[in-house]
Amino acid sequence: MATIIFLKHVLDYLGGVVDSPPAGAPRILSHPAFTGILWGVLAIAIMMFSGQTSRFIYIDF
Amino acid sequence: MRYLAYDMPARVAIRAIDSTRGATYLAFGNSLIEAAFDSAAFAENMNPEPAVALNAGLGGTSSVQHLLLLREALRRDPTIKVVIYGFYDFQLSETGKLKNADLIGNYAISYYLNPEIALRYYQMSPRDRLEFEVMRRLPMMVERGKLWQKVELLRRALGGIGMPHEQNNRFGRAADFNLLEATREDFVSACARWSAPTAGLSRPILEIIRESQAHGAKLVFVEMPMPPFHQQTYYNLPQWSRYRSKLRELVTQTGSEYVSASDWISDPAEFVDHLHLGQAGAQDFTRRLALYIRSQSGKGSM
Amino acid sequence: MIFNTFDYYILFLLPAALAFKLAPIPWRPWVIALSASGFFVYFSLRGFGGVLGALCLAIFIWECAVSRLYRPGALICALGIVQSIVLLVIFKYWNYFTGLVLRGPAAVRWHWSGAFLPLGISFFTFEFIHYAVDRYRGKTVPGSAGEYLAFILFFPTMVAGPIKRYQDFLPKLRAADATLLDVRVGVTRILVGLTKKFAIADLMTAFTNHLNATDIARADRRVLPLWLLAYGIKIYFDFAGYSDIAIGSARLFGIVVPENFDWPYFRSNIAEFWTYWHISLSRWLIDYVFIPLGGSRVAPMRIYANLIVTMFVSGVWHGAGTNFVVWGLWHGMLLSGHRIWRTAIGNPSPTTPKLIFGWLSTFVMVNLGWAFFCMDLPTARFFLERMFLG
Repeated sequence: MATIIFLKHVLDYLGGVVDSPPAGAPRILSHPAFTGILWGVLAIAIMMFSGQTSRFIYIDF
Repeated sequence: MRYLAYDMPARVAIRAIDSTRGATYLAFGNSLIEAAFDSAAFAENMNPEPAVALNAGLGGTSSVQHLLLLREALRRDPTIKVVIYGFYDFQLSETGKLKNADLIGNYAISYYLNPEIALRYYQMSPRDRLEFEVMRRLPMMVERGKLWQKVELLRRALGGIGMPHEQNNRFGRAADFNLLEATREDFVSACARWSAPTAGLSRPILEIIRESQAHGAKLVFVEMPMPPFHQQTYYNLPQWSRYRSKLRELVTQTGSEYVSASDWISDPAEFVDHLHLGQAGAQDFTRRLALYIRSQSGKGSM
Repeated sequence: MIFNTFDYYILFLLPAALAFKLAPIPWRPWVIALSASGFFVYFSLRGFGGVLGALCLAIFIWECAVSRLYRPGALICALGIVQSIVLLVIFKYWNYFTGLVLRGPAAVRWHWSGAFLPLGISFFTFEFIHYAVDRYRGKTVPGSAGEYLAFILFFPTMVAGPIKRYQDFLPKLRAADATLLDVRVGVTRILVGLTKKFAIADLMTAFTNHLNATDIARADRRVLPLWLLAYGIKIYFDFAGYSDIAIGSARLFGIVVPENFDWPYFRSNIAEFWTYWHISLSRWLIDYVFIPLGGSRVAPMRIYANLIVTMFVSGVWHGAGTNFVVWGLWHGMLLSGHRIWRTAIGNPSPTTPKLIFGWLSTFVMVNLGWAFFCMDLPTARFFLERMFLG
């Protein structure tokens, strides 16, 4: 249960719900480079999936 | 990104144009001509006249993209002497008013093939023009269709779980092409709109005519074969006959040819969906087209 | 959807947040009020009622003017409540009620063919009501007109919440000063929200687009639970994603607004689910419906009735349709049933099997309820019959 709660707090931190990672979390999570990589991954995911409501689905490919 | 987009249909079509030499006949337009024109069968049926035919048809495109592909082909092949443009319904009359967000998939060639032409013909708002100028400089945005294609295929796979199998062909889901047909009321009102005395050929089409003539090529507009359903529902209407007469007149006034081939293929089995010919239908169509062009050559009009 | 447009970020969020940061403190509420007014007009013109929708900006100005008359214990506060309910009835429920009550030519005559919903009406009316009630009760200070306008017009939360409380918002507005931490957290939250929306919620529509009578009839019935589950996933990630973007956007101003979701699908009973699902609405319903009805300080049968009525209101708020009423009543009965169960068994210490059972049964019951939320009643009934009976 403690592990589940810890994971929840880590995910909350990654999701921007809390400002800092929980005690015991890897220090890299607080590093600005990690934040940059996280933003990059999210931006790519957004770009990849953002075409689902466009007219594109009817165009030949 | 260009590497990832290497096999996108538009890039493949442009490479085919760039690598062909000595073409004398060029067919272009959207997926109808892409499906229906068999280059090898055309060359064979033009015997004994030596013919090298190039099919530059590209699905999911409008007259603006057709103009871009024509310019590319004429630039690469000075030997082209006949240009065959396949169309259906109101494609010679309709003017495009696309937003920048619509320039995806094969429309995206407007970003990198003479981008000034898209800006000239698409009547974009200032905001869209700015967005266009920014996006065309970002390869990832230009080819976003490549990424979206993978997600769309995933969606279709997920959506197909537990559902009856959907018919697909090389252009996509067959059922989607029903959606490209207008309702009867919309079709009739479009006939009236484009038959009006002040209505003419669209600006990109006029430019296609001008480019062909400047090159010294004969332009042949081909009203593409339509399945019996489309014939009966739309093309048998008197409103369509009036529009077609006007269209023929507008085209021939420019010195181009107009061929009404919409009833050339009467067997619905030769169509793979509501719009596209299958392989057998394509061979039939191409053979008849070649015969027509040979007969016109004999009369000296080509 | 507004949060997925470049216009929201380029024309409104980023310039407004920057202007808020740079403006002198007394001007800051007006920076929000003016930028939000532009936001309201712009997006109304682009799809929320057109010109008429844009003119509904006058509602906020009127509300601000009336709110200046509120005093603790003054009956004028009732006007604030009544006019908010009238706005909801007219814009959101008029055609539903007239269609329900009238028939034939009368229904046609009273049908409002040009009906539209002003942007964010379901949310801003609830904030109007909260302010009127809490001013009546003396639970909040008036603040200035600019501060109240900033509260009701705060555009990150205007469209889909979270539903704010003035007494929470005002001190944060006065002390707001965005730091790099706020920017980092805010941007992260916005990106996470967009990812939830596009990568998960929109992907689930590959399944949920089939939730219609034609496809339900054609499908292999073993796939039907998957479609319902997909809807449950979609609605959570859609709404949670929206809330993330709203909360992240507010953070760029240096303002922390309430959370709206806290892992609701992992809760082990229905009461906990509603504590952590759409938190700001649940708290609003508790404070302004459940407690005024007597809450849980009355006889048991009254408590159950209060729960059912509260969830009935929740259902009606979610949409103008009988299926939403049924959905609300479904949850009202689940909450009442849970309360009866807890009263009967006391408060034993939770064991792992009990927690798993509790979680599973809550998850299943909540997802079954979505059938009423996403389909009209005949289709929902057909769906459930096919799923359970074949």
